[in-house]
Amino acid sequence: MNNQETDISKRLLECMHASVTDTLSTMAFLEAKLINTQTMDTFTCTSQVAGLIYLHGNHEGMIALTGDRSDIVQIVSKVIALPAEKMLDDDIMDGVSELINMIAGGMKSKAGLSSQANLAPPISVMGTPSLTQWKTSSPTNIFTFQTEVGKFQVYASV
Amino acid sequence: MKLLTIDDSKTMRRIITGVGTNLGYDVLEAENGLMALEVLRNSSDEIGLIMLDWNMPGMNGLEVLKIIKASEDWKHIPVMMVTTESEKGHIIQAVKNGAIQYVTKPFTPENLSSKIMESLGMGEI
Repeated sequence: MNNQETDISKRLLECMHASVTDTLSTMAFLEAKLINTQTMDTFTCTSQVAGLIYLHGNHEGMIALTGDRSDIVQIVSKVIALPAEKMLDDDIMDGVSELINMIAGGMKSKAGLSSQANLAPPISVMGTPSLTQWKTSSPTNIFTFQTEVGKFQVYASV
Repeated sequence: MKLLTIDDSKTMRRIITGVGTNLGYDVLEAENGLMALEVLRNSSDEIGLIMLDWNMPGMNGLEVLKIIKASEDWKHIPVMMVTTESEKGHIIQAVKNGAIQYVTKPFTPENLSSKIMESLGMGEI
């Protein structure tokens, strides 16, 4: 990474926390508290549910929201105001995709990136658990958030 | 009068439909641009407001907006963009092409309700 890319990466990560808390409080009336952070050399998510979004253009990256099915169901249930027991897998996958779409959009917007980065359509993955890898030479920051109804992780390799 | 939401996300269509329904409107849904044009061909006389996402697979929101505003039959229908794209350039492009309102996701139901009412010429609620 050159200096400009490092600066963009730093700005995106700085804006991640605000974007997560804004999205969860506005769309789900949930308070997301950051409870843990860690860094990995690769981008490998092990989770039951994941929503991923690819950042492309002059600056490339991958951002994911992951968690256990039981936690993600509760969070998405708050977003769409539908009881968790009535939600189908398709509802959960669509919900997690929309959440990561809004979080990544917020990061990009708060970081002031307009032409430098574009968002690809989100991808959702569900399994018991599933392993998702993205080939990258950049490290991945993993942020664990706790809400009133469950916890989730945000993976950011930007 | 009906509202039309065009968004590839079922989650977002549900949220927008919920807000529109709470305001007392029937809300038609389309998950992409082509479906939206089909809905407009069949029901444009009933539609009082279109709520349009920007990033969708296939035809994007700006392309859909341009088609709507180029049509003699549909150009009078107000269009509100509802999108994660919040850069000034996107907003300017949307307004230049005929959008009358721009709402960025995430939004509160109250915020969306107010914007719908404003777009329908009913002022803020």
